[in-house]
Amino acid sequence: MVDDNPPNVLAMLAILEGLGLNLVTASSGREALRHLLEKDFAVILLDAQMPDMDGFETAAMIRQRERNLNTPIIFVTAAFPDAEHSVRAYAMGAVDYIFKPVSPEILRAKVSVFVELHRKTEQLHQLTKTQARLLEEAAERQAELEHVNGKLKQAHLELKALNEGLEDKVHQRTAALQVSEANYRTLLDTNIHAVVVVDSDNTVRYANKAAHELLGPENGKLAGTAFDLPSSPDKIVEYTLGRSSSGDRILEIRTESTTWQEAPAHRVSLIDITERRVAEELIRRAQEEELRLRNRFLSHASHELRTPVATAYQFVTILLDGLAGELSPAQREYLQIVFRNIEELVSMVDDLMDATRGDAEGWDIHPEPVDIVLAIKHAQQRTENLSQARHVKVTMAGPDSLPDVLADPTRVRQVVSNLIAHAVQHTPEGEAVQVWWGVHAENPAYVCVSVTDRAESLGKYDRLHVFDKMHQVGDAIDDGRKGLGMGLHIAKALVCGQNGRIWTESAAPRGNTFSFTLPLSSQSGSPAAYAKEKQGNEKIS
Amino acid sequence: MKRILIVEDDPDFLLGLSVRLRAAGYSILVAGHGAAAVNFAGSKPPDLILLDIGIPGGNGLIVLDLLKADPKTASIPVIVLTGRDPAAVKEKTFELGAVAFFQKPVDNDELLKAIRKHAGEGRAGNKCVNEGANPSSVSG
Repeated sequence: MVDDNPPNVLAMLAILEGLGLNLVTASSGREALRHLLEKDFAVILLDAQMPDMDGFETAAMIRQRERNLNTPIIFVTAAFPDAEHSVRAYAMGAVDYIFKPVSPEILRAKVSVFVELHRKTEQLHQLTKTQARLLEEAAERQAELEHVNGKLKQAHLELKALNEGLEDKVHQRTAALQVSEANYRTLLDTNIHAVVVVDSDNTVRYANKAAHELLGPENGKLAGTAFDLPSSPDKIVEYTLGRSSSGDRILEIRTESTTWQEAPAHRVSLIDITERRVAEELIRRAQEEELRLRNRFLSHASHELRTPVATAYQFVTILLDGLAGELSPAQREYLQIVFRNIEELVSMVDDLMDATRGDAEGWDIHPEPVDIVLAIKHAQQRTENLSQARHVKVTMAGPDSLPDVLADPTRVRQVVSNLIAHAVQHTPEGEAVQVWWGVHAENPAYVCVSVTDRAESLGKYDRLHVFDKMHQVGDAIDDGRKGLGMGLHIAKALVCGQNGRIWTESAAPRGNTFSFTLPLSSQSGSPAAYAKEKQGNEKIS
Repeated sequence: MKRILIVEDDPDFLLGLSVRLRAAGYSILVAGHGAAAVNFAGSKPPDLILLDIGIPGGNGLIVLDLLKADPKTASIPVIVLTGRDPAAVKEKTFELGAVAFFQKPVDNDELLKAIRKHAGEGRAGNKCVNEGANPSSVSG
C-alpha cells in the first residue's frame, strides 16, 4: 500500500486486515521501491497522486526492474477518473484501477484475486524450481553417467588393445611352437626307438618310422588307430609283442605325459630290449652253470675226502685206544696231534658239504624249542680241542637259563661252534675269547649270543664280506691256518634261516664281536618282530 | 661169537673197521662188492651187516633192497655207512629197512652202541676203550 496520506493507509489496512495477509505500507514511491528491493509482493496498491514521484512514475520505476515486471499493480485514485489516465495507468502495467472512496468489498475481492494468483504463481514457481532442481540433478547424474561411460569406453579400448597385443603374442608363440614342434617331429621321426603319441582317447596321433616298422600294418598308417599295447604313465611296462615275421620282440614301454597339438597326450616309447634280454639270459645261464660246476666240484671233493679221512681217523683211534699195543708217552702225544688235525679236516669237509648243498638246495632246518644255554655249552665243548691246541682260553658269561628259542638244536650248536672256532683261530696265543649271552636288549622277543675275539679290528671291506663264502680275513697263507672260510658263511645262512639276525662290531685296535639273535619260542607267532630282525640282516649282508 | 659182515670196497677203511670191531669182540666177515655181499649173506647169514652204500658193482641201495627182499636175509639188521651227502639217501635207507645210518667218519662209540643194540654184545669181557681220544668232539 503506497499512499502519502496516512488516513487512507489506515483505512485500507482496516479493510484488508481480516484476510490474513502480510500488509506492508509505504508513504512514498521511493519507500515503496525500497520495499520492493527487499521482497516480492503479491499485489501493489499504488496511490496515483503523490508528491515528488507520483503513482505513474513509481509504476514505471517498478517495471524497470525485471523482477517486478509482472507484479500486479492496482492504482487507487480519486483525482483522475478519466479514460486518458486509465489508458496511461494500464500502459504502465496496471492491472486494475480503483477509485476513492474505496469500496471495502471491491478492494477485498480484487486483492484476494491477486493474492490467490500470487500464491498459485509462487506454488508454480516452487514447482518449477523443484522440477528444475530435479532436472539439474538428473543432468548431473547424466553427466556422471557419461563420465563413467567414458571411463568404461577407455577401459574397453585399453582392453581391446591388450587383447590385440596378446593375440599377436599368441600368434608369435604358435608360430614358434610350430617351428619347435617341427623340430620335435624331426627328432621323433629319426628316433631309432619306436615312438607313438597317443591322445586321451587312446588313439594314435603320431607314430615315427621305427614304430611303423615295429607295429605297423604293411602299408597302412598307425595314426588314427587305437593304441592297444599296455602302457602306464610314468611306469615302465615290459611286454612281449608276438610277431609272425621276425619272431617275438620284448618291449620296454615307457609312457610320459606330453601335449600334442595343444591337447594333453602321452608319448609312448617302445624300446626293443630283445637282444639285451637274450644277452642277460646267456650271462645268467653262464653264471648258473659256473655255480653248478663249482658246487659239483666241492660236493665231489668233500665226498672223495670222506673215506680217506675216516680211515685215518679209525687207525689213529685204534692206536690211541691201545688196540695195537702200548704207546710211549711221546708216541701218544704225537698221535694226539694227528688226531686233532683229522678232526679239523673232518670239520672242514663237513662245512664244504654243508655250504655247497645249503646254498644250492636250501638249508635243512627243523625248528623246535631249544635250551640255548645248553646248546652254547655243547658248542664250547666241541671246540675245546681246537682252543687247547691254540692256547686260547674261552670264557663263558651269561645267565644259567634262558627261555627256549625256536631253532634247530643241531644247527644252533653248529652256529655257536663256528663262531667260537673262528674267534679262536683269529685270537693270538695266550689271550681269551669271550662268549656271552642274554635276552636281546633291543628286542626282548629275542635271545642274543655274542662271541668276541682278540684279533685286529676288521677293516671296512672285511666287515662287509666277512660272511661271504670262503672269505679270508687278511692273508690266509701268511697268517697261518684259518680254515676254509666257510664257518661264518654257514653261521649266517643258518641264523637267517631261523628268523634271526647276525652282525659284527669292531673295537679299536683289537676285538671283533660276532653276535646273532634267535626268536624266543613263545614269540614264534610274531611276524612283525621277525621282519624287524630280518631287515637288520639286509643291512649287513 | 656174533658175526658181522662188512660190505666195503676201500681196503684201508675196511681194515681199520675190522680191527676196531674185532677188538670189541665180534667176528668179522668181509665183502668187497654188492654181489658177493648178497651171495654170502644168503649162504651164511651173519648177525648184522655193515653196508657202505657207496660200493661199486651195484648201488648200495639195491643191495639193501635185495637183502630185505630175500626171506633168508630179510631179518638181518643192516647198518648203513656212507661217505656221501647223507641228506640225499638217509630217508631212503630207512624206508628200505636199515636200522641205523652213519656218515663217515663214524663215531666209534655211537657205532658200537648201535651194533650192540641190534646184534647183541661181542665177546664178553672185551670192551671198547677210548683212552686219550674223544670221538664225541668230532664235529658233524
